[in-house]
Amino acid sequence: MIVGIDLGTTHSLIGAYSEQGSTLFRNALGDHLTPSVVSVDGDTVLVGQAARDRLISHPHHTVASFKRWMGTARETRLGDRSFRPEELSALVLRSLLGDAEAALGEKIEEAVISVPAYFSDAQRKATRTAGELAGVRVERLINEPTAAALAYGLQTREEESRFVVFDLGGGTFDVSILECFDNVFEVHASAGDNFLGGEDFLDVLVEAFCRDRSLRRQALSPQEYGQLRRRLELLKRDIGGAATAPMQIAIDGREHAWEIDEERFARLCEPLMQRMRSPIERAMRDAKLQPAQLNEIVLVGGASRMPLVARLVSRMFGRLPLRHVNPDQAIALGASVAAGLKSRDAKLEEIILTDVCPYTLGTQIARRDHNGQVHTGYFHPIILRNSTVPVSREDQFYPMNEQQQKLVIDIYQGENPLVVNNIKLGEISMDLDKRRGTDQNGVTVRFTYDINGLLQVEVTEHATQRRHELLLEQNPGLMTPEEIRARLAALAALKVHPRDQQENIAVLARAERLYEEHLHERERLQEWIMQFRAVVDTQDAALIVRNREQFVEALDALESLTLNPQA
Amino acid sequence: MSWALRELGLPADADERAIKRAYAARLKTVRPETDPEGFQKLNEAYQAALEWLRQRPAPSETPSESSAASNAAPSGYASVKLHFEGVPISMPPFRSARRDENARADFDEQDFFFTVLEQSEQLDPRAFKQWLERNEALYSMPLKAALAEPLVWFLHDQPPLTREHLAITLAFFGLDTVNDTTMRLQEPLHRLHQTARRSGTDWEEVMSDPRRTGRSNAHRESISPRMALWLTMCVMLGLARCFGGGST
Repeated sequence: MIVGIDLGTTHSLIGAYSEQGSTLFRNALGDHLTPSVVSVDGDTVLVGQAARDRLISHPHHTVASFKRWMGTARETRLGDRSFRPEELSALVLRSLLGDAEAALGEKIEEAVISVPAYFSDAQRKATRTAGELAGVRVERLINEPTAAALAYGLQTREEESRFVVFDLGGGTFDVSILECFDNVFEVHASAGDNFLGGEDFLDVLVEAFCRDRSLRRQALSPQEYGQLRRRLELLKRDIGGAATAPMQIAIDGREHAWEIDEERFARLCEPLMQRMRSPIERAMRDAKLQPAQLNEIVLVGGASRMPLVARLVSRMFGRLPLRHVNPDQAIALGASVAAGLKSRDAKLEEIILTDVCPYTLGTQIARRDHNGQVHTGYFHPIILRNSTVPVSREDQFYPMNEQQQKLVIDIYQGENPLVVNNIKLGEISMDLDKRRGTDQNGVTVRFTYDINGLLQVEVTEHATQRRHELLLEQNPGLMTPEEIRARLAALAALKVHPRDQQENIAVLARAERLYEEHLHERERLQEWIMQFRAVVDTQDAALIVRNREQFVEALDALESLTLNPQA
Repeated sequence: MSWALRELGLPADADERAIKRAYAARLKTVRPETDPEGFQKLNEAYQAALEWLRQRPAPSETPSESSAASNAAPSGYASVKLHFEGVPISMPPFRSARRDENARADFDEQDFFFTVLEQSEQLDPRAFKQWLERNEALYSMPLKAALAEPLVWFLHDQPPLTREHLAITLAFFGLDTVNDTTMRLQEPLHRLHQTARRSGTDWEEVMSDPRRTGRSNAHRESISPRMALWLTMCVMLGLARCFGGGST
């Protein structure tokens, strides 16, 4: 069985393709969305909603938004152990896979995972490693906007249409331009920003709140900071229209009331909104399309719900975006379709998907100007961004002068005309035979970029036909196979709560969060928590269910009272 | 007839629909995941066929005076169409010119370019960036794309900007990345970078210094003589390139 997974910055989802089409699986709490949060309690790991509540009650043992660190070697300390971003992602994947296996009643061997279109090589490899650590094979990664388009395109199945997909998730922004005709899904262009998402808009609110209330963010305790973010996240969803959105929070024993209207929020977010413009413009330019040639504008990703986003889109495209796609589920549904494609599901047999390489790949060259002066450090593209993949291109290079003893071919990824502003992936150097002169000392450099985003570089010397293959430098952000094996063993030693206990765990975690948030209700909450723990210990299933329902009701009442104090 | 159409097994009068249908039909057997080389060949033919269609003049259109100029221009050199006192002056054209004409029709390009210059002198980099970003007309992608190339040629013949202001301007117009426009404009862009003024100006001082403000206001009044001068220079440069290109 192959599943499709949307491994998101704030939420993750899992689904599969069957005769009925794409289906998403619910987690043990009955939700499609599992928060991408990991918490450690002794030697037990919690993932999802319970972990998210523990961000507030146990901030030192809990972590969120780790997708932003994928492709780096950053380690996060939780309790007495530290985790790499791949491991944290693997824990989320393991939890999702457990939900799918429970629903399907069979073992899952393979997964297609969606990644932001603008994810780099290192970030993609890290995502694959996360899959490996979670015990599934990940042969295929699918770009998130492509996945969303696949779900959307199959849903409408129009004869022929061109559309743009905006994906503003929790941590990343992507824009892709696609066309579908005769069962071909063709990506024309993708562009994006790997560090722009809903979390950044939340940061803007946190900053504004602290400034207004004369609080220093660094002076807040982790518990208070967690509470503040949670409250402001809820507030963020209320911003819109003419009314101001109010909120209230107790910090350091003092009540703080605060409110913000949409106009101010828009002003504060302007720098973030401006950052969305250039990827959009670049994708449109690369696709050689005018706004009028697009049939639809599709918004996906939770953060695209902000009215600000729709407004930017209509300013740039001169029309309103489409609304009837579920922004939270589109990517996961599309990833499931991709899983169906991978397993060559008969119903999908005729669909062909072509994607592009999101970055320009090239080498460094020197140039001689009209005065004969040599300028170094120029980027010379070999594979242009938004070339359809798989693609292989070559170019010829010659030494600058007769005295040169060595020829160095540097491999860069990026868009800037100067290599210093791009990312170096590796280099290959060869000795030159000076007797031959510059004309005979030329080389042919071939770049081959495959469907899975793997780059291979081959240099052939003209004079000798000798070939050199590029060994890309070991990226410091990536794990070696030995490391992966070691971490796999360590992860296996971690315990997870059985599925049937997840609901109990979640309700207890929620009560503990409320305990942190409500100074005046602590005694009551503590008592409820102790009572429910005792009930869980009886192992009497019927009794537990009955008590849990009452417990949840009581917590709901307490929380609704504080969220709408006027009501 | 294009080689691409032959590759796709299509007649010379094939339209977009036919090209797409032929491509889709061939994709069924030449899949990207199983036959990368065959796929690349097929995809290249498909893209070339579409490009050929884009370039093919519509039957009713007569070749414009600009396409005649393009024959004389050395390849790789870019081009602008400048309007000077109502008389269009043709420089070697750029491909997208016809398409962009509409976007530019209601926009006073020259006035905007001089305002950019003026603001770059009056505002510190941050404020200058905001000023550009808040220009409502430039939210239109076709307009913004159409202005990029003429702006480079305009700035090329004006007193240099500071490095920060230049970088902001180029980034705003998408001229800080490699693409076919910037590849074509390598030479003028290179010169803009080389002549850009060093940073380190005290912006408070600039803004409060009446002489500086006075001078930049003077730009507007002296448009005609200045433009005449740089236009002449452009033409001379262009000629020099033609002859220079021919002799080497």
